[in-house]
Amino acid sequence: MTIQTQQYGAVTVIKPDGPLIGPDADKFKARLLEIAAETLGRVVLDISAVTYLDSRALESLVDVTQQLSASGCVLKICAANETVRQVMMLTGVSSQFEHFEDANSAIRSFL
Amino acid sequence: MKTDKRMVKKLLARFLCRDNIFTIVTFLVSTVVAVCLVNMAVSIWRNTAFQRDLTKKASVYNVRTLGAVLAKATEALLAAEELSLLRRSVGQARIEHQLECCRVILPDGGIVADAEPSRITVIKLPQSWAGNSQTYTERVTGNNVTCSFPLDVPGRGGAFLQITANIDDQPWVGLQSQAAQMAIACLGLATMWLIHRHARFRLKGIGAIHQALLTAKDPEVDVSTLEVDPQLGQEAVIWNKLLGEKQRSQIRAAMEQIKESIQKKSDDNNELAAACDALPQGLLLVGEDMRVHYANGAAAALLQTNCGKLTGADVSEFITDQRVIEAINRASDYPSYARTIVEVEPDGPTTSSDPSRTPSLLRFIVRPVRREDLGIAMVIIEDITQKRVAETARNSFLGQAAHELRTPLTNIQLYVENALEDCKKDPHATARCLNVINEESRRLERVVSQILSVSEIEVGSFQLKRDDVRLDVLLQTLKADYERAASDKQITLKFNLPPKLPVLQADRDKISLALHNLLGNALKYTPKKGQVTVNATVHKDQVCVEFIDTGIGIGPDDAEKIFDKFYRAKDERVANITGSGLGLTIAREVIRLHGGDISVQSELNKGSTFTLTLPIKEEAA
Repeated sequence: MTIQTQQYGAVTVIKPDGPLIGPDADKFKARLLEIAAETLGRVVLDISAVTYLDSRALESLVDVTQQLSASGCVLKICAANETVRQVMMLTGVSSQFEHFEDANSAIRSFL
Repeated sequence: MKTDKRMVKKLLARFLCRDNIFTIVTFLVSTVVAVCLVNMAVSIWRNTAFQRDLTKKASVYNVRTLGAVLAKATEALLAAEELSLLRRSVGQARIEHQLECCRVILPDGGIVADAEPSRITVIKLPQSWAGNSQTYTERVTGNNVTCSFPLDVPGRGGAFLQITANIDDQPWVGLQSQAAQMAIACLGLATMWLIHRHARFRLKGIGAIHQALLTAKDPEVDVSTLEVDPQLGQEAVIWNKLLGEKQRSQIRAAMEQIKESIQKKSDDNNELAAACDALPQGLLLVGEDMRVHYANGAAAALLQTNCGKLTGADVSEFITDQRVIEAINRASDYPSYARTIVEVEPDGPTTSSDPSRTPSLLRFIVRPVRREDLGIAMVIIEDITQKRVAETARNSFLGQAAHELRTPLTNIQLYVENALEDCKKDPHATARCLNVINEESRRLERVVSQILSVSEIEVGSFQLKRDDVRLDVLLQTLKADYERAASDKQITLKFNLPPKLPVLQADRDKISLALHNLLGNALKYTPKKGQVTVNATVHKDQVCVEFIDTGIGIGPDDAEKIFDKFYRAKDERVANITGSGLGLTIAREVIRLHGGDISVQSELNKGSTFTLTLPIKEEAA
């Protein structure tokens, strides 16, 4: 799994590529938290290239959003495919994130 | 009136207090006992006197009766002149009836018979004697009664029988029963006194409990004041035990109430803290001593620390900007409603390690909290970085848009003036001017269209009006539109189109706009004597159009960003070419709405290839 980051103004869009599973989830979580701390929470997670994710990845995402929520922020997720969306819905963690259709909408939410 | 009654009640209550009530009871009992004793004494005295009087009267009556009987007998014996018998009878009567004196006396005083024979003066009874019989007399002297009974001795004369008897009263006669009654009464009283003495102690305890119960009517009374002396008996001990239980239960209830109150307050505080932590804005409360009294999670995150370190620390450790510190000082020292707004680009720990990342910009709003004499400053911290970026981009866009609009407008204005001047002299020049005006008008239309498209994309109202679109026609029109511009710039423009291209279900204007943007960019960023090639191919279910140029190319860093709104590559050559930075954004958005995409492959200074793919059977979102 590769992690691409891209700046959109003051917002950093993080785009993991490939399935988010196993030990990759921990690395991804650490990177996500690091960027969130550097950008004061101005982070968007573009998971359009994540084909699927496992429970460890879900747990990592929930941990990140919980840490962000302590400072009044929420993890913004965009462009989730149908599989990922259903996994989140079925596991009941979907409501812990802010969902957007695309990165632009997510970036606009910081205005 | 009511006041008087209340005072009377109060005095009565005070008088009938626990200590007085026993004195009163004792006094009443003593009085009753004394009255009874006096009554009994008087009664005894009265009875004794009555008894004595009655005894006296009975003695006199006995003497009188005895005298009457003896008088009759004496008369008969005198008549029969039986003096010896008479004297014996008199003597016997004296002895039998314990008489002091019993004698028969003649009128001359001669004593015919006497219980004391030595006192007899008439030994022989005369035949007759002077003097008549006297009337009955009775004389009481001291303790003796003397009765004189007249005697009539037929044929001889009168005489009288004198009896003297002792009627000395016997004061103790009849007193025994009274004394016995008195003794029984005294015994009863003594028993009562003993019982009272015994019961008094126990009654004291019950009285104290009674008094406490009366006091307990007041619901606000302190239970501890209702306790009685435990030495007053077992009842008092049990009462105190009950009071203790009640007191403990009251304490338990009070403790529960306090616990609930503390819990509620704690819950309220937790809710408030949770609400403050949910705020996306940072919130600090800074006291007069410049120490942080409260910090929410967002404040800690924005100041790159945590709540634990922030709370209680000197605020200057985390906020280094002097304007903010001064504003906090002012708010603490001179409470007013005025607020101070300072925008700060944090340095130090808040600076990102990634140099390409936009530096953060925080807005500090400082205002005092009016709370009595306390000088507390509230600091609201807001992350306005993205707002500032957007604002800058918007301003830049407006500037670019204005420039894009102004350039064709200026050209139109200029060529209109030329056409007006040359219209009569040189019709060819006029025609050239009109051509330029036409081109500039179309350019103006495109710019306006782009601005509107961006606006629609921003608000999400960018919609397609689908119809049959002949791609070959569109591309031919495109070629016609740009041939002149290419030749003006000495660029070779080639179109490699297959003999037949499919008809698409698409929005003609939007597809045309995307194609114009791609070809326009290719020509714009290709220097003179360059080449731009447009290839159109059909692969199964999609049509592919490539725009290949030999232009300045795009660096790998800019390759993906060029599709961002307002983005323009940082190459100096790009900066010298006018453009809004919207063309590619709109083009890709349009193609994506049709279910296709635009990708780019480029090499700096060698050229770029933009590939547009569109599904033949529309599968767009």
